[in-house]
Amino acid sequence: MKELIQLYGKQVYSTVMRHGFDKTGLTKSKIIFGNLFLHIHPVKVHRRSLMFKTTMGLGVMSLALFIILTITGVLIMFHYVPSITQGPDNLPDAYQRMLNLRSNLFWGGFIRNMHRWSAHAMVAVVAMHMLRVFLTGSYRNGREFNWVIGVILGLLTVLLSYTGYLLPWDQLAYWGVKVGTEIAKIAPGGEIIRGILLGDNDVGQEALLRFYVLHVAVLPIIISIFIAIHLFRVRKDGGLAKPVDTSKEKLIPISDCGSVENNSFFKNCRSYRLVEFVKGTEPKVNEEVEQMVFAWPKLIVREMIVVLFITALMVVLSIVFDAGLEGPADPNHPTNPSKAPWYFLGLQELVSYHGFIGGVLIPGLLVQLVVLIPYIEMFIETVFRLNRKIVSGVWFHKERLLENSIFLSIYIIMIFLIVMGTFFRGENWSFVYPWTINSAGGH
Amino acid sequence: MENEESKKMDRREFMINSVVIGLLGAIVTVGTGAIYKFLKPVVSYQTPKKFRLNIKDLPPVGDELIYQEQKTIVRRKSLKEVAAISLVCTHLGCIVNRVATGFLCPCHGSQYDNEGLVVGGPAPKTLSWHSIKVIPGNQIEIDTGTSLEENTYFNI
Repeated sequence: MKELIQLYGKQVYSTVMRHGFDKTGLTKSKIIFGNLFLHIHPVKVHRRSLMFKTTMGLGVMSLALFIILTITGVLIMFHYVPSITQGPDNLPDAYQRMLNLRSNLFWGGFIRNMHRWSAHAMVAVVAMHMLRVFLTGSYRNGREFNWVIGVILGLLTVLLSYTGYLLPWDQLAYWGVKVGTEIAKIAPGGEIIRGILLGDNDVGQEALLRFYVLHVAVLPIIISIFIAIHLFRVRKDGGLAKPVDTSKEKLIPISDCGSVENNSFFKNCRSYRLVEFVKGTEPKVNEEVEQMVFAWPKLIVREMIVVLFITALMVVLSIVFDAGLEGPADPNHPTNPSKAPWYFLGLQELVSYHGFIGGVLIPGLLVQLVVLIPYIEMFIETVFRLNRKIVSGVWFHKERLLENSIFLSIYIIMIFLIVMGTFFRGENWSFVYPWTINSAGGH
Repeated sequence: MENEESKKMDRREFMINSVVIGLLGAIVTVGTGAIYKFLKPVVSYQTPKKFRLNIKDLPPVGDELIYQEQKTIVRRKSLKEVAAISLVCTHLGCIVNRVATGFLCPCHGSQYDNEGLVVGGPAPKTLSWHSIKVIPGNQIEIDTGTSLEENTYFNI
């Protein structure tokens, strides 16, 4: 009887999972390609994929933040109404809901804090991810188009953050968005975009509704599709970027391979079998067998460490710091100073010098430059017949000194402008020292 | 003959493909246009552009009065001459503050003198002066949608 029950148990198990958890290569492979969520990974990855310095975990971190944001966002949606109708206590509904979230609901404040801090963190992490990809030259050698998709993802991240910024309908939200959408007016054709975005000639009920729909439905769907394309292309381009020849690098010690049982597919941990012929940059082509290691469990565990780290960081931040909430939005009394969200403060600082040049021309050119930078490089290399080898996956490669310097300078200037706008601008946008007046805004 | 046949098939396939692509293109184009028209605002739910004041409620001669809701300041030069100046910063639409020297914008530090002329900061042009119409019932109507030259006073 006991045997029969065991047999039944085995049968049930095999309908759920088609593999055990032993340490054979076959099992390690099955775990990866038998699982919907894991099969974005190849069965074997290069040793470099396990190292912290390759990516610093920034891509996984962005994805983890996106998932945290989706979960907390959906939770907040259960308690939010995008309406400015005055309630019984003379407060706009949306704002009233924020107060409710913060003070009445069990852990409502915490959920809101998580959502707020993760949104800010995601913008920052995505920016760092982009810097990492650039400084390691990982967007070259056939991955140029994935860079373009990455930039689109970055813009979508900012847009998601920005549309969410208005929803609490407090003074900070209202005036941040007001200033932001006024910038659109200066751009050619901006009046039309602004009309579509706001649904009226000023920020009001229609704008709140439209921002809400964009924030909870339209943009998340678009960004999910682009994330899928982005990851799919990384996989199809052969995993994380690495130099063509890594045979001189440290080898994986045999002990790291785990015990290998003799089975038909994997005689030992460093052997592999060519299942099919593939052209191009598929991981299996020109694979350096000596440097490959099973993705399960080493890579998966490392990814989970990154996910846990960023989640823990967000939890601690959300416990220690409360997301700000100012008075309800009042279209007749601008806050002084009125500051956009921090990632737009660099832009706002530029706008304070000249509306069109600072608000449209410079950012427009900058976005175009960043999107097209791989193709500009490619163009120069082709036209001037620069016969250079582009090494991907190496930090600060000396062949790329010029590109890296330019890109790093852009980042430094942006950070300088953001710090300037955040901390050194006080009433009437005049210069102040942060230690004399507390002017830190843009939460 | 064989060749002719395959050519014919190619033509048929080409026809089908171009019809399908054409239809898809048409759907996308029409759809985009329709979505644009659908999303384009047709009704404004906000404060009307025009507002009315009773003449007896106007500020005394040489004084002025701020109407926060309408983002307008009404100034009276003499018994008969009245003007309305917009309080919306011409830079990025913030509401300027009235100070002794003129107007100050809290958002990006634009400065205007008492007539609304730019004296500092990033503002590109003078604050708008609005048109005023005398209407029956001892009232005036101020059109905040208008943008006139500075020092445009109206007789009431």
